Amino acid sequence: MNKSTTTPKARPADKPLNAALLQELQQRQQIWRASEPLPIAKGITAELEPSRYPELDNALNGGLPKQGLMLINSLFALGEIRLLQHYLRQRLQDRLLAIIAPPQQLSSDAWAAMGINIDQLLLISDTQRDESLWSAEQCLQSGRCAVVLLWEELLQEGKSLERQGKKRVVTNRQGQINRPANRSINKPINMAEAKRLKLAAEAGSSTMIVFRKPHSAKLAADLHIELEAKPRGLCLHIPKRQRGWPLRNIHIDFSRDWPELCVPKRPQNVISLAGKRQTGKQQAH
Amino acid sequence: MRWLYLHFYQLQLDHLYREERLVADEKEGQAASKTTSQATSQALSQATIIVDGQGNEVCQACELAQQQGIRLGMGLAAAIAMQAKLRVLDYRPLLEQELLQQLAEQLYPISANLVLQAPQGLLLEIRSMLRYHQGLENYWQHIQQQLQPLHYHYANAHSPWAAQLLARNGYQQLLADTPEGQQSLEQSLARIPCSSLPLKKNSLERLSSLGIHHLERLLKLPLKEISRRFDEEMLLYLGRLNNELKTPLAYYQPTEIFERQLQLFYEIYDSETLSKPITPLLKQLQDFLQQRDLQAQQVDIQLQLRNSESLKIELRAIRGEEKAERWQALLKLRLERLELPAPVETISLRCEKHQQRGQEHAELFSQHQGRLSQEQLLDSLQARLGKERIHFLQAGNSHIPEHSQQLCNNANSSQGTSKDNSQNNPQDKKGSSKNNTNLPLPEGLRPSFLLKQPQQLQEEVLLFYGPERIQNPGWNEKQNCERDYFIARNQEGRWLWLYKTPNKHWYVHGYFA
Repeated sequence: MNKSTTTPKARPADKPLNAALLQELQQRQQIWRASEPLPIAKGITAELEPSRYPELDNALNGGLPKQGLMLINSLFALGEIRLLQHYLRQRLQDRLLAIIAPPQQLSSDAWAAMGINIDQLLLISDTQRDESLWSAEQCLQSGRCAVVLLWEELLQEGKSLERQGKKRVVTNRQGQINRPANRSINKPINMAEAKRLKLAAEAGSSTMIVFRKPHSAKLAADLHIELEAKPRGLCLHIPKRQRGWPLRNIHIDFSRDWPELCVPKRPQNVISLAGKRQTGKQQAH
Repeated sequence: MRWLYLHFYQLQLDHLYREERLVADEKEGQAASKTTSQATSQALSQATIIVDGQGNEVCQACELAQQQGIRLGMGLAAAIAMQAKLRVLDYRPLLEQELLQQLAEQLYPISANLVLQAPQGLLLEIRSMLRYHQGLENYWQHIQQQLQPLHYHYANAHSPWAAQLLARNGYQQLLADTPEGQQSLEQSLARIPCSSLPLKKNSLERLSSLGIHHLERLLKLPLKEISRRFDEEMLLYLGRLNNELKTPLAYYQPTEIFERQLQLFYEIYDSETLSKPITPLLKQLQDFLQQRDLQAQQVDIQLQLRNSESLKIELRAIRGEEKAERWQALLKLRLERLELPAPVETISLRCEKHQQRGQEHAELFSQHQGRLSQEQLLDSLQARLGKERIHFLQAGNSHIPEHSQQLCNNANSSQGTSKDNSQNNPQDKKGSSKNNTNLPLPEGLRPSFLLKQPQQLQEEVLLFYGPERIQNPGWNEKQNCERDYFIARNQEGRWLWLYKTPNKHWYVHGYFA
């Protein structure tokens, strides 16, 4: 008794509504169940921007939100920027992309190759936590930045060594961004700050994207994404989102866009004997 | 009657009262501390005199003081004998000069031909203004409105010196250009004592010894006789008085640079309360700019501290701004971060850099409505964070990955060449600052993030793609760089950009985020 014409991925636990009153309301299309896709009204689907990765777009029924707060929980450099590549390019238009306190230096060749005009990149570096959040809010509210990127693990309070000329951001073996040591504390974003950033983003029709540690706490954001690396791409989980249930195991294949960054499929007629050498060279195809 | 002279005999005192009144109003408006409000109310009710440093004579006295018997020209001792509770201030001719300048600026929109007659006078040429104001009464009304609540004597005459003489002797009259007016002018002139003529002391003594006490008698003497007994100065003066000789006058020109100084009555300890006294200065700046149709690009504020070096604040607006609110907002951002090592005594504001008003922003028609334009956003960010933390990327002219981009401080769209701010590897000095939009992208894959300093490889990785050799043979050993780049994946699934040197050392140089 689904009222929508397209068949979504219905959850297996969908039971038909029993009470007669509820059935009647459903017939009159006055009930919406979260398992259904969003009603196809002009206002709502216009708010989603496709990420051009078909698996993700299907799972999210359209794409990523056009404005608001997005939280991406992942280890550094698993492919999060590559995932957002088309989204960033499409959202940018003639506005700026603000990058606040990036973990490393940016390489203009790479960003230009992704299709982003580097004249539109605004870098704000070496800021304390409150300055970073304030700059993010200013950029979002002004309406002149389409997207603002921020790394939560680099928000530090207290005198950082960088101010004294000594900081170096290093990633250690566990894959966490090494916080500049001693004297500076990292405080994750709390609920109030997240809400404030979301409101600022909506005021200026912009998106705020915050990169966080894996399994960080849930906040009031439009979309939470958790990334896991896979040989040929990523595996996404969506622990929380607006207007939809959480999702798990969305596989993104990067072989179309980034063929060099996928572990090549082993051809069927090759059998490995020992398999212990881990620093061998393999021919890429 | 072509000339009007305004003699401000109490300029410094009036200025003092005006400032005190402002302070008192402000304090009444807020819930002020008891001591300051008491102090100001005391000041207003006290008799004040201003003493000339050279002769220790009273040169300006307020009404209260005059009621108690103090006259101008008295010695200081005599004045104190009259009234013990006096507030005595030094005469400051420089301050009066500045005030005169400000008055001239104020009156300039009404009467274009002004001459500053320091220390306390303004000479206005009326005839050219009468048609614009449609009559002498209207003109005078406008001027009077501007000059409240100052005290001054005024007079008009056919020659500038006659007007000056009349005004300085306490006349407050405006005469019409009729035969009766002419007659009364002559009568007034006749009654002026010769001792108030601006001539040398010898001449004045000679005049009094000759028995010529009033101007009437002087004017009756034939010029030939005067020339025999007195020097040229007297002849010139008399000629100019009668309008037979022309006087060269330098008319007032409005200044290009806006400069204001504010002496605070109470020291300010807190940097946030500084915005209160600076706000009216910014409003004056706005008027100044709007009158000239200019926009300010930089405003310099200097804070003079007690027993300490003065602090300078520079506020910049990339695209020029004349509105006081915007400057106030930028000032507030800067003041939040400002620490005062000592209390502030004087504030001075100066604006030199301005430009013609440009066109309105094209973003008026863009879809995304926000509060600020791009330049205003950058101004706000710079005001709070400082210029050195805001950067734009620019493609660099080098195939070495470290130098393939540079950071620059200004947006590329507004300038062709930009400052070179690249982080140089000490080895290489490549990287010019041309506008490099035409450079082709490298064919190989590049990582989104590059490490500032390549680090040694410390974990086990699987190589998947490579090698790509990037080589830059330099003139000496240090500049040589020969690297074979590989793309590798580590245990957690992160993709790294490694390179191998000829010594077979492996380094991590970037991450494919």
